Amino acid sequence: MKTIFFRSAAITALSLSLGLGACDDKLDIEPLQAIDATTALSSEDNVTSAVTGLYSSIGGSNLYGTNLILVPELMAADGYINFQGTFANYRQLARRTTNSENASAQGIWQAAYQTINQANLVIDALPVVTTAGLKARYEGEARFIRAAMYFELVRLYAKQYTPGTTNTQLGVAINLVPVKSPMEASVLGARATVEEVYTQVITDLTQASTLLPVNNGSRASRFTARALLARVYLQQSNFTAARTQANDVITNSGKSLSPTLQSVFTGRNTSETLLEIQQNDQNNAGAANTGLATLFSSIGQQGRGDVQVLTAFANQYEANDARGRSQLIYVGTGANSFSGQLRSGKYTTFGQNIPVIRLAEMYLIRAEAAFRAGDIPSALVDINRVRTRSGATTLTAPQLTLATILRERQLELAFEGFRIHDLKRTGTNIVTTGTPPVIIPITSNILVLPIPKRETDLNSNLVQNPGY
Amino acid sequence: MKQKFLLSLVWCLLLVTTAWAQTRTVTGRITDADGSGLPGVTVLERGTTNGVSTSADGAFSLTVQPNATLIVSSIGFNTQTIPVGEQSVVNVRLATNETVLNEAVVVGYGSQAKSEVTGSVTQLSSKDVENVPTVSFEQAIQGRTPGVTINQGSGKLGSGVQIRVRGSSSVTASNQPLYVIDGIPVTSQDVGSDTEPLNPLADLNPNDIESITILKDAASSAIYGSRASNGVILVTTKSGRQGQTKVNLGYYVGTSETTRRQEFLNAEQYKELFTEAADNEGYDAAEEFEASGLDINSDVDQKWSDEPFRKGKVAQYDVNVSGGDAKTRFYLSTTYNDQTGIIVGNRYRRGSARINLDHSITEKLRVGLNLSLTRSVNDRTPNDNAFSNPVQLNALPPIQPKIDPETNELNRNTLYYNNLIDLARGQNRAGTYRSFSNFNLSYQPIKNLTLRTEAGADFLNLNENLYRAAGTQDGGNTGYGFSNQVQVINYTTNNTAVYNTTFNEDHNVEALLGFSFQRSDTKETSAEGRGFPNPEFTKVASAAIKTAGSASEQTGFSFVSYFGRLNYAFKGKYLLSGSVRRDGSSRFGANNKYGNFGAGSIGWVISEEGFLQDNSVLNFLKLRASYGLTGNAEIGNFASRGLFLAVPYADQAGIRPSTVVGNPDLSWESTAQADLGLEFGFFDNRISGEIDVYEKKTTDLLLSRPLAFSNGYTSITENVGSLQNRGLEIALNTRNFDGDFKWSTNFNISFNRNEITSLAAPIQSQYLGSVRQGEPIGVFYGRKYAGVDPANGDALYFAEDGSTTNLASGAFLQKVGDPTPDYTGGITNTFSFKGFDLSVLGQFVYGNDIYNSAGIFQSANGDYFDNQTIDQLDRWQNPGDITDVPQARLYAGNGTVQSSRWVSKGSFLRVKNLTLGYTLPQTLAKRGYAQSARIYVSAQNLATITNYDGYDPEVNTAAFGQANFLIGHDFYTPPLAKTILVGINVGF
Repeated sequence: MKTIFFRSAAITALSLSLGLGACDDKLDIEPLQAIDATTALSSEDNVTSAVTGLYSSIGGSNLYGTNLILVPELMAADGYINFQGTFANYRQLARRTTNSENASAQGIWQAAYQTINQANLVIDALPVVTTAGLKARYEGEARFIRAAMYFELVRLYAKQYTPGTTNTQLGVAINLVPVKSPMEASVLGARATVEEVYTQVITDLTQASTLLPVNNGSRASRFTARALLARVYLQQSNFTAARTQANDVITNSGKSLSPTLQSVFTGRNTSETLLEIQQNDQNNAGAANTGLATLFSSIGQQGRGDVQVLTAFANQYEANDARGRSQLIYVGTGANSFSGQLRSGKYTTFGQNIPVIRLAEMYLIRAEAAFRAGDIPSALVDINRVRTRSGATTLTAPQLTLATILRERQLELAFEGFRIHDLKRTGTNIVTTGTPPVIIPITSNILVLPIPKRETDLNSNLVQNPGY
Repeated sequence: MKQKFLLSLVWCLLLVTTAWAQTRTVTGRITDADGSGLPGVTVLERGTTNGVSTSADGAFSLTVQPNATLIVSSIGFNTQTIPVGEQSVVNVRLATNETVLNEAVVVGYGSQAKSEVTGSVTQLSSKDVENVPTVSFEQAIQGRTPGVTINQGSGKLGSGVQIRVRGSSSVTASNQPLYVIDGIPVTSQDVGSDTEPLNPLADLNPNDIESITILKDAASSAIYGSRASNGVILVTTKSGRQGQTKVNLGYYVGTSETTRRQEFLNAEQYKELFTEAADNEGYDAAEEFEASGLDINSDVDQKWSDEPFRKGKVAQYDVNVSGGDAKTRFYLSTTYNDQTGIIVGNRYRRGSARINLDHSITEKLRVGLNLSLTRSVNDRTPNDNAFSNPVQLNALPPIQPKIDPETNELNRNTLYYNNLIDLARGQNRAGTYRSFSNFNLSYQPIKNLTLRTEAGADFLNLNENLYRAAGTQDGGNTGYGFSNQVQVINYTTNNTAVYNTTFNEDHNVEALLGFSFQRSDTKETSAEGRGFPNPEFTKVASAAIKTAGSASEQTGFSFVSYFGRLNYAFKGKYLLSGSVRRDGSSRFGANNKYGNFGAGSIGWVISEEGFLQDNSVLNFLKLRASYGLTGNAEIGNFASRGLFLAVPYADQAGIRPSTVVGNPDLSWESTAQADLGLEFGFFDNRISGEIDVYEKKTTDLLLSRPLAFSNGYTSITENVGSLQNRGLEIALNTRNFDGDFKWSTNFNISFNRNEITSLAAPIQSQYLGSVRQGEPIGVFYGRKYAGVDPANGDALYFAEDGSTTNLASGAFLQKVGDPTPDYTGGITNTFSFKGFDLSVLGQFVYGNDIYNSAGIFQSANGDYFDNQTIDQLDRWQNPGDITDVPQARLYAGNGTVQSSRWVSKGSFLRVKNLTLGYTLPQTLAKRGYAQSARIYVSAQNLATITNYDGYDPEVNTAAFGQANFLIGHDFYTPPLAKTILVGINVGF
């Protein structure tokens, strides 16, 4: 009896240990709506998807989908636009009562750094891309997007770059290492100087402008990188370099102004744009609480009508200037439509594409740089090219001043995320509309976004901006 | 891979046929003290699941191993343990014993005599759950379970029930116990798409339940390893017994009402309050009424607060047939249950059928199959936080009519959505198909050794359909439809070997070794659309636009487990037990794939000692102690992984990393629990009971640690926090009268103290519920309301220095309440005389707070046009007024931020169940060709005594998600039902 028992016990043990061996792999269950990060970028196809993911990220509502366009406008809203909505984060920005817990300041910071890490992961994964053309293109796209993010961060979270100085004021933390592990994700980086951040931006863009193809569909091409480079140099007041880049884009990109400005926003990927965020009815930056059309428009049941265009600003357009007339500026018919308040017609449908860089800006950069270099005739041609497209009268040489050029930028690029950045680089103070008007120095601390409190709480190496 | 696994299974099965040994058949008759045969007595071979029930005349026949020991048990009698030895006929006379001390109890992977159990276990029987008008069995055992608190949360039929065994032992992972039905772990957590959970256990017909056993301490639960920290609930379904075939017919029918209602202003009071509120702020009342679409001159007085509710109905039809012979036993049942809820639009129907079959192929080889199929249809009540929740109708101004006098249809021009339109023009239905099954084979190759292999599956198909026609709020102008199919297949195999022997007469040893594998797969497909041609078209196929809610998803998990247990008893008085389990799971991080768990326990049956053996006062006394380690593996299926997710970019799809960085070290949460218990019986068990004290220390709590955004991630999930539960449970049973007139009392009370002992950072919900170190989970934390300034009617809050301020921003955030009760319990009194029986179950909960998070709308002294609760009439009006309700100020936010203003005491005492029955004398029954017949009237939730001024004090809204720390919040949550029914059971 006993032997039988021991025999069967032995077999039980054997079968249990067999089970052990056989069952280890029963524990390998893979997620199906996601893929494991350790192998996510292990093939060329996956890296291709990750590059698409980069564009998806910059189109999010914290980046070009909403905030990178809206926030620079709200930060210099005086005499221009009025924020009527209930969102405290936007109200604070428009009223200059921003604190370090502002949701937009936190959102932009988070999304930009998340995108930067994505770009770093793509660059890190390039060795698996074996198709030569693709490898260069992906590297170019990743560098372009990384540069765009650092440029936006340094413009928003640091004091303005001042040409001719060392620019040792604090910029933002630079991280070029792909972060994959909990240990890497716990590193506490410190802020680099503004000079260092701009250097990084220019390095990436310069490399991107050679890596990227001349034509890259609706994505960033060689000329998109150069157009952004022109914008970066302009922000540094490096007009010569800005003029060179803008000129190159205008001459060689094959882009041309669309027949109307309206069509740049209602159409998709028109001949004018160098970069557009692609959206459709299903996938967009939002239709309820986020998204440019949500916040700007007031059309029947659509839109919150949160951003009102002030009449004083609308009146700056000439009577025949299409940019100041319906549909580009219209009287709202939906939310907040009482008393005939004006709205911008640049953002009217949830699924429309969002132009980020367009050729008109290049003309305006080239005009400004030419004017500053004393080349009035060239400047005049470029300015008038932009004006005549919208039916505004042409300017004459005597009418052309730096002020008219900057005003033209304002009229052409209104609501596209340029305002505070232009005021900062030109040192133009903000004047409130109250009586008596108050002058807000453009170098004020409140005109720089706070480093999110959550971030300074977690990372003692991050120095908060003055005033927060 | 699969083949390899199957191969190993085959090994296990082969093993079954490797050896044969001698067994013997024992026959006998079980009688009561008077010598008349006792039917339905369980005769069980100790340490095995081999057993039979006696036939109508008390006879049984059972094949057992040589030297086996029989455990003869029946409810109401003392259990006897009889060594078979060389006997082939065993006749047993059982002594009456109305306490439950000596029942055989179900334990993990087996059963044990209650007197030899060294862990803390509560067992309930079929009579506690049969014919109670609730949807699921957990609702029926409220008040009967020491150490286990059960909160139904709301009166919505079929919605999730919150169960805590010895307190909450997790902050972010699940706190619900593991449910095991007939040996198979089942899907017990919501799989639906709504924020508010459905209860997957509603698919088990309570009338099919034979017993419910709750394993509370580590000694009893550690055999379930990484899934035992929240306790384990073992449900055993009924099985057939050898003997005459029994046919039972049951029927009940009844009506239901709300337990409690809340009072709101009538039209006159409403106009008075809001006119005053407008005047106080310098508005013209008539204008402000008009701006909100209200007519100040309206002569309507609509009692909107009555509209969400109605008189409900319950009915149940039940048939079961059971019986069998020496070779085959069976139990067949079918039940149809139909409950029309007290909330308009809410109805639950369930039809179920079951077959439990058990056959002895040879004397050593047995095969069994349990199979059930359930279909349920639930017409749901929307989320508490939806405008379509009927209870939110109480916010509508009484001066607006329900029926628009111009159209004679439901009024569309109300302040908030008149959601009665939803019921007229839509559907919100969740239907399930559910099958629990278990196929098992047991074999005794040699004396004392039983090998058992079982494979079970739990198949759940949930099918949600939501339709809102054009003209409803969600339907907009064109209609809205959503359809969701969820399929959860959960299969398990358990393989055990049990060796049971007694040597030198005094030493009894039972050894268990086992292997188990479980895999669960969930597949979900949903479709969502807008734009229906007209309301006759209700399926998404007809929708012009298929919207973003359309998706298909799949997820799953697996467990591979090895376990063992050793029980040793010396002379039935010194007890020793130990169990171990090694669990591997797909959920655990790569660096922590397997975890080891286990427990040890000792028991001393003092009453078996010589000095107490013939004590006339004390007839039973047992002391037991246990300590062990268990885990909580409900941490999410892929929480340890770093993941890349798909993201759309217009019409292209890309990927990007999740914002949570992977943590390969992530593992289960661990709980170490010590338990000390005392069981006693006095005066021949006229007084008996059980006292337990315990301490549960949970470490490695899964918490999210925020990461600096600048590295690209938001957070990491880590095993960092810790908490503890300490408690005391007392159960006391007495037989007060024991003659013709019988009266017995069962009383239980439980105290549990929960404390968060370590936490990375406080967690605060948007409401008052929060998690803070040094406080119990869910502690209410926020502004402390200081009443009203008698001088000016301003609402006041306490500032940091203890002074008061009328600025909400100046209020000091502090602890303002605790939703966890100081103690809970129940008391059951059972009386019987001749054929009459009466039982009354009282349930009590004491010392908890409730936060009415709808207070900011409904009790806000006329801040906005929501109808107000009647207590708002006590508002401050003149300088010097002493009141708690601030001055009425329209739109002014006078005291309307979240604060302790709406925290109130939640203690209650409830007559949970009252049943009066009459069993017809057998002679009378037989005249109607029946063996037995009983008629009864029963009331559920008959009376509730509480100071809570909301609907029902048993409240726990699920509207804000199911976070473990959001407890005791009320938000337009419907009350429970008070049900009265009459029923009849006839046996043939």
